[in-house]
Amino acid sequence: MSPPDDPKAPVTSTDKPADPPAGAPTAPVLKGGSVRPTSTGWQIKEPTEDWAGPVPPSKLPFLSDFHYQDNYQAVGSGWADWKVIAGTRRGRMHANAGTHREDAFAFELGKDVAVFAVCDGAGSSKYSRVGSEFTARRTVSDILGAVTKALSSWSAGSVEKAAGLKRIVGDSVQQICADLQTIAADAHAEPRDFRCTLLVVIQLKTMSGEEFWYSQVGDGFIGAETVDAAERWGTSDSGDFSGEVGCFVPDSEAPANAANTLTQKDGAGLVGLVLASDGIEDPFFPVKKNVGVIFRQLREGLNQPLEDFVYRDAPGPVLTETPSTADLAKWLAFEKRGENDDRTILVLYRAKKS
Amino acid sequence: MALRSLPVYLVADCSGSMAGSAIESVKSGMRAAHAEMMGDPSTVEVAFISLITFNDSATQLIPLTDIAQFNFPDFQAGGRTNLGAALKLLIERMDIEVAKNSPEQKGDWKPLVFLFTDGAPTDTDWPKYASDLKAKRSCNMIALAAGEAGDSSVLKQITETVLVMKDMGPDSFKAFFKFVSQSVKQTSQKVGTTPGGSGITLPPPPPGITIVP
Repeated sequence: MSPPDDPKAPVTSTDKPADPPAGAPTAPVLKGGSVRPTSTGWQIKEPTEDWAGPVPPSKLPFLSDFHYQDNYQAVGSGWADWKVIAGTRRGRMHANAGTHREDAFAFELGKDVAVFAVCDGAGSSKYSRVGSEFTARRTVSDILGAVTKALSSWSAGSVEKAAGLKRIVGDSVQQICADLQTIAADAHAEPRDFRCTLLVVIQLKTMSGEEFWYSQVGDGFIGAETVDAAERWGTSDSGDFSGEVGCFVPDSEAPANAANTLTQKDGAGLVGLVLASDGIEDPFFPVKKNVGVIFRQLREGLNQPLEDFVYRDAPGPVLTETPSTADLAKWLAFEKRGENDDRTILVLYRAKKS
Repeated sequence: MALRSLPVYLVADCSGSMAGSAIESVKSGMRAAHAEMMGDPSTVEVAFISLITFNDSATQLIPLTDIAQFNFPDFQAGGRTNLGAALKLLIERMDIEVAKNSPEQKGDWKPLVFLFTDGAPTDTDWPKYASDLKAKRSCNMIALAAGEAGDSSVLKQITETVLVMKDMGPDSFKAFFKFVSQSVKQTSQKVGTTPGGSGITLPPPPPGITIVP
């Protein structure tokens, strides 16, 4: 992974919030036929609470080099010609209320294994920002370590590999849940105060190529791109109404949920993979239909937004030989009425689709 | 994709006992709440409001409407307290007006319903609809028993969240509708990923209004 707050990270950039100061006139440059403009009066307020809240710093090892930012991007390079770009953006809802972004992402790129994670803190949970950052970082770190260690003992396509990966994912989430429960106790809070969703993808180098394993707890989506098509992997955990999720980390069902949803996909023909929080899933719903649009916009730059989308600054191509963090920041700054949640997207891609 | 809304239903008792200053206080309180909600960008973007009144029968005076387009109609008090008709109409309108999640469409946020009444129901059907509404878990309802005759035990059979306001003076109604606007604003500002089936977090009730445990 290239931790966005790690000064040693290869390429990391930040952007200022694209929202104008309160009361400033809006001048959208690209509109997707919006008939319902977003309302005015939004403000950008600095978060007032301490990021870690009552959690003892000793319980969050990453805090020593972590500096909260409303928006940030990170990039990395995997094996062969795989590239990674990820970005997260504090939603207007949080900016207006003066609260922290609650989404997080993390990735780690090993020699034969790479792990990617996106988490979204539950809006009703007081310290979900801590839960999501902790869960994303620990997930990629724990799974990368465990899979790297076990990889040589698995033969290609073996049953023991599938079982081993399920066990590793389940154990990892189990340990994260246990640690969050301890953190909650130390902070005189409840485990539910740290609730977050979890999307995780494991990329494995194999004798014949590579394969992917994905798992999902909660909402958000994972999508894949081939040379001539795009599809959604898995489904969102959702109830009757918007935003309703049945299971989060660190709920007791989360480890089994993560292990049981672990699914294998062959990497042949794959040129792109996206993990995104519901801040992207909801405005682009149905994702099954629009995941191809997302890849196209990120690869080609924005020429024609979808209906009801407004962009102040048109993003150029993001998924290029040198990933464009500035354009990803612009892409994440779209406006759409009623869609004001945090937005996080992580893309693994080949710059050349052929 | 269609706009996702936070549906807000105001269900007002307009029976004869509300005649006079009480009904006028309700109307002015609703207008003040609307004005306050219009000052919050989150609320303006997501809230849609409907007004249902009931006495001998129930009427949806305003269907679910974008808060920015909402104009409060005039209405009068008179007649009896047909609570069953109000609950039946509420269920019917929510079934029609509120979108649920589907593979093709993201649903609305879970509706907020504010029901207020100052007396016991005069119909016999209300327990059936109360039971239906509770079983469907299709909204977060806050019910107010107003005045000395307001029956909180009836409202407890409809929803867990019941408030009692003994005084029915203008200031009390003003405070109640401020609570309504704050609740809608707070919910609008916190729409996002939440545990399914969980309730909402309400602001503390104002002085003179208590929560029935």
